[in-house]
Amino acid sequence: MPQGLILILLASSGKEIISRWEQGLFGFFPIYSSHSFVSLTEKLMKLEPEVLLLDYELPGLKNQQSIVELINLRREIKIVVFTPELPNEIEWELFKAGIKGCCQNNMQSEQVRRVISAVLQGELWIRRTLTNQILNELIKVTHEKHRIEQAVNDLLENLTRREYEIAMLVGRGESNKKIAQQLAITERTVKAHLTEIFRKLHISDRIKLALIMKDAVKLP
Amino acid sequence: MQPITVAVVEINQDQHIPVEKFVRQNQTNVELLTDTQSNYANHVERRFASRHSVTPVENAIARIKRLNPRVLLVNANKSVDAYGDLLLALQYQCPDTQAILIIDEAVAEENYLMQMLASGARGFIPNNLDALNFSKIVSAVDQGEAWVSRKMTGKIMHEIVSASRCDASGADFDSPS
Repeated sequence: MPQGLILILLASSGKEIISRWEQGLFGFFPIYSSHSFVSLTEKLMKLEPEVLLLDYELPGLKNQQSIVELINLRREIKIVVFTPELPNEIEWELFKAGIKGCCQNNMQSEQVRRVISAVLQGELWIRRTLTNQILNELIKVTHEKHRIEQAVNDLLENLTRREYEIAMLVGRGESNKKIAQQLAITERTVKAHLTEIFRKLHISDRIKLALIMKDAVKLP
Repeated sequence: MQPITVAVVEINQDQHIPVEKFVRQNQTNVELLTDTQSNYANHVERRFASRHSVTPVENAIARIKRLNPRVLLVNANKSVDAYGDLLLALQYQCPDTQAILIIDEAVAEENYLMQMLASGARGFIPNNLDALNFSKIVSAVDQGEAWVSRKMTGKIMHEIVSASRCDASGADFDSPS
C-alpha cells in the first residue's frame, strides 16, 4: 500500500459515505473532504491531491461534463466515481472522460483502500462486463490512428522536396529567419513556401504543421 | 449446455501448447477441436513446400474456418508478427471466433500484447495455467468478456483517452486535396 505524501480528496455531501471512506483510509493516507462541486474545484487546485473519491450525487456535479472539468483542472488526478448502479453506456462514457475507477456507493471501507491502491499502481477499477468495450474501442482507435497516419503521409507526399525540408525545420521549432539562413533563401521565400505547405496540408498555422511533422518523423 | 469449442493455431512456434493439460478429460464445458493433418509444423511445412502461394496466415484462416471454434487459442509462446495479420483477418472472416493468446509471461512484451489486442485478440493467458482457471477464462471470453489484467486495461484506457483528446484538438485530414 503506497503511503506518505499521497493525498486523497473525498467529495460527497453524504455524511455516511464520507465516514465509510474515512474509516477505510484513516491512518493510511492524508485525507481532505469537500461537500460541493464548487469547494471541490477549489480544493483540487489548492491541495493537488493524487486521488479523488467522487460521489456521483455531489451537489453541483453535472455528470460527465463536470468530470472533464475536474480533469482539465488537474491532469494527473486519478478519479474514482462512486455511484448507484449506472447503465453500461454512462459508466463507459465516464471512463472515456478519464476516470480510473467506478464503484458502487455502498462499497465497504476495506475495499475502498484496495481500489485506491490499484489505481495508484496504474490499474483500472472497472467491471469485467465493460472490458470487452475497452478492447472494441482500442481496435477502433488504432484503426483511426492508422487511417490518419496514412492520410498525413499522402498529404506529405504532395510536398516538393524544398517544401518538405522547410516543414521539417518548422517541426524542429525553427523560426522563418533561421530557416532562411539555413537554406540560404530569403524570409519572403520561406513565407511563400509555408503558404503553399499550409494549402497542401489543409492547415492554417505553423503550430499544426509542427505537430504533424513531429508525428510524421515518428512513423516507420 | 453445448460445450465451448476451442482450437489451437500456431505459426512459426518451436514449442506446442500443452492443450491436454488445459482441457481435462472430465471437463464437459470445453471441447477441443483437432485437425491432425495440419496441426503439426512438419505437415504444415510439407504443405507449404508444394503450395508456395499460400501464406501461413491464409493457411491458418482456412483451417480455423473449417474447424469453426468459438474460442481460438493462439500459441504465442514466441512473439510472431504474423499474428497481427491473422487476428485482423479473423475479425472479418471468422467474426464469431474469439481469440486468446497463450503467452510466455517471462518473455512477452507489453507493446506486443497491446498490438495483438488492438488487432482483435480478446485476452491473453500464461502458458503455465491450470485446467480450472483455463476453463473459467474460456467461458468468460466466450460470454463476451475480455481477459486482460487491470494494469493492461489501465494502459489501454490511457491510449483511448489520449486519442479522444487528440481528436478534440487535431487538424482535419479528411478535407479534399
